[in-house]
Amino acid sequence: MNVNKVAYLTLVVGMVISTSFLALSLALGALQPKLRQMTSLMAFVGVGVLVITPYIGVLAITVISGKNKDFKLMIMSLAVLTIMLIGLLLGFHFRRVPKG
Amino acid sequence: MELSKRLRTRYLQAQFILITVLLVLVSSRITVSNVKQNLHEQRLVRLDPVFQAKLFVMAVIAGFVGALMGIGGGIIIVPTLTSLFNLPIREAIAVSIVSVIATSISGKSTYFKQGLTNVRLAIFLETSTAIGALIGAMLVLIIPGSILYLVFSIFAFYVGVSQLYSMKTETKRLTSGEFKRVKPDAISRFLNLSGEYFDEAEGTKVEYVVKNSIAGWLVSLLAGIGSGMLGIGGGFLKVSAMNVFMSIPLKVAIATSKFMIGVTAATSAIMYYVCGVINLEAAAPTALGTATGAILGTGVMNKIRVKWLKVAFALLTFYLGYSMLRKGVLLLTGLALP
Repeated sequence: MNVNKVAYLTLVVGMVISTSFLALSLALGALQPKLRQMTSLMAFVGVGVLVITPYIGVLAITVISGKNKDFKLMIMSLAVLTIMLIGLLLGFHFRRVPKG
Repeated sequence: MELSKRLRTRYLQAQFILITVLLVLVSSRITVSNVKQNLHEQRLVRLDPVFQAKLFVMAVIAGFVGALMGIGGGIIIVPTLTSLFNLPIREAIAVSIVSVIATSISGKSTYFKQGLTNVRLAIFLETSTAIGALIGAMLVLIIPGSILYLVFSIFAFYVGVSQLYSMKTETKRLTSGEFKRVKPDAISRFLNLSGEYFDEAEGTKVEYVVKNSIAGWLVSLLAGIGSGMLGIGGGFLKVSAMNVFMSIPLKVAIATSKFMIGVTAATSAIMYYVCGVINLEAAAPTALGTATGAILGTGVMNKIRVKWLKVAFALLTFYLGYSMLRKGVLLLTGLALP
């Protein structure tokens, strides 16, 4: 499997799922203003999928490069993923929101 | 053919399940009080559909510029949200960082199909950017922000001048195949970082060889530190690292940076998400808008002549350089520049 194609497919799927939820939340908010909780929930899921997609992208690159026996790329992407996860764990630990 | 289709379907299904599982895992970390607090904050904002439509239009512009320049578009989103839409700065930054991901992952198909995104190069440079972001987050406690603003400002001016200086030479290099004749360094050779793409504006296939990998890696580290410390996306630094130091054509640098900024932004965004500080009603139209704008931007980027991209990029870096100089001087001396 081509790594570029996998990265592209991963991001497209993440994008389609998240934009669907976000669009649904906006449509619901405009048409049914009383369903405020439902609108927020849709937006919550949409934003969540959007935020997680790059993680899945790097994970997919790691897995596919491993399958392709492209160990140089696998090690590099694994390093990126590890650092991202360390950042996340440190964030959980210190409970500090980054500046931006 | 059939097998390949079946594999692809299974891959998509597996990915969908994985996304759902991860989402559930992350959501489970969010306490009920966080969600309640988040919803309470939203009630205070009270966004109506017209307001959301305005946010959407602003975000389309930000996404378009972001996709064209390989940046996140936060420099447009944050000031607009705070000044025009009266959102608190903390919420504006949180919404902006989510939109950066939307800019990064939208319209990727165009760049991937045109061979503009170099995934190997992106992952190589992301190793330093991610480390830099972690270091930056820790340095916040040691080094005064004013010094960093001034350092980054000097760097931004240098990059802007370099872009204008190389405006004519890059077009010549594209058409004469000079990017291919560069001598690769050991890391570039070992990791096979070089690549090729078809430049639609110049009507030529461009092959390029990557050099000065260490210099590029170090500038990306700086971009990461800036990102972690100052809350800047670092897209312009990544593009500069690739174009000015590593001899990578500007369009490849922009497309590759666009891929990278999503990965960097996700690291910060997940914390905002978990802590429940993202204003969902503002984030939804902004993310949708930037996604739309980014799709439009990626569609036209490869059709624009490289010299105009260089001029636009130089103007952007001068603007960023001046903004950082202004902040640095204000923090250091209390003097407010115009």
